[in-house]
Amino acid sequence: MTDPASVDVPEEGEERVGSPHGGFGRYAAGPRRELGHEPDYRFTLANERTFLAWIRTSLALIGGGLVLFQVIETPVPGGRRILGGALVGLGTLLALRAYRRWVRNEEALRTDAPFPPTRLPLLLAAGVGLVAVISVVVLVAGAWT
Amino acid sequence: MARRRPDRPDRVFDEGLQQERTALAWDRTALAMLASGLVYARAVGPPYVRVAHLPVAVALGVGAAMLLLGARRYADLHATLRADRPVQRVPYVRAVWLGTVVVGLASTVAVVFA
Repeated sequence: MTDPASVDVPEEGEERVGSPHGGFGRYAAGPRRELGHEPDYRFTLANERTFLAWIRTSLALIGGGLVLFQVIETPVPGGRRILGGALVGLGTLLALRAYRRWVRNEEALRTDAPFPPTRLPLLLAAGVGLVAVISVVVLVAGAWT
Repeated sequence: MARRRPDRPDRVFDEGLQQERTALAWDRTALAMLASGLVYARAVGPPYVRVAHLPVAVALGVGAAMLLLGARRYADLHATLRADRPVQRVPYVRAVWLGTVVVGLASTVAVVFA
């Protein structure tokens, strides 16, 4: 046994789920209710709406990617597969991260901690921007030839 | 001044209409889920009875459940807020998340590997 202070001892009544260092198992059970205090319900509902907004964004990317895959014609063979696949893949990635984000935000609310930082908005903006620019180039090039 | 009716709350229990906005967010997301399921079905194409179309059933099922349960939860939340009880809704959140992930992964496979 090492220095007791360095060991992550569960609080009384805390049920340990998965790895303490935060694999998905840590989040699968949802926010830890034994943490902190019950937040103001307005914040709980705001966090829930934010989760749903991420899910809608994800569904829009997935649907948009599927439509783009079917509709667009690219001069390069397989181009629509790459563009559509980028959108659908980005949407799937956002969906995968959304639950964890919701859990962590809920726990931050319970412990009065700041929301954990996230690069998801940057990823979303960069991904959609890139696909949009390439699509414009492809469409203009297609109109020219 | 309006006379107080006994079946009405005697105070504002949901300032900012949080409950209503949240219920509408669930409905919007349910519609997005239903629409993605249909777009996915269209993208994968016939024949419609095969494994590749299972995500369609998932999306339509989760979307319909969100609409139906959403209405009931809206009423539950009403009672919860009036009674000052904590708001707890983990299973719903996880089901929506799982449905979206299923549709997303299947769509990725459909576009990239089909």
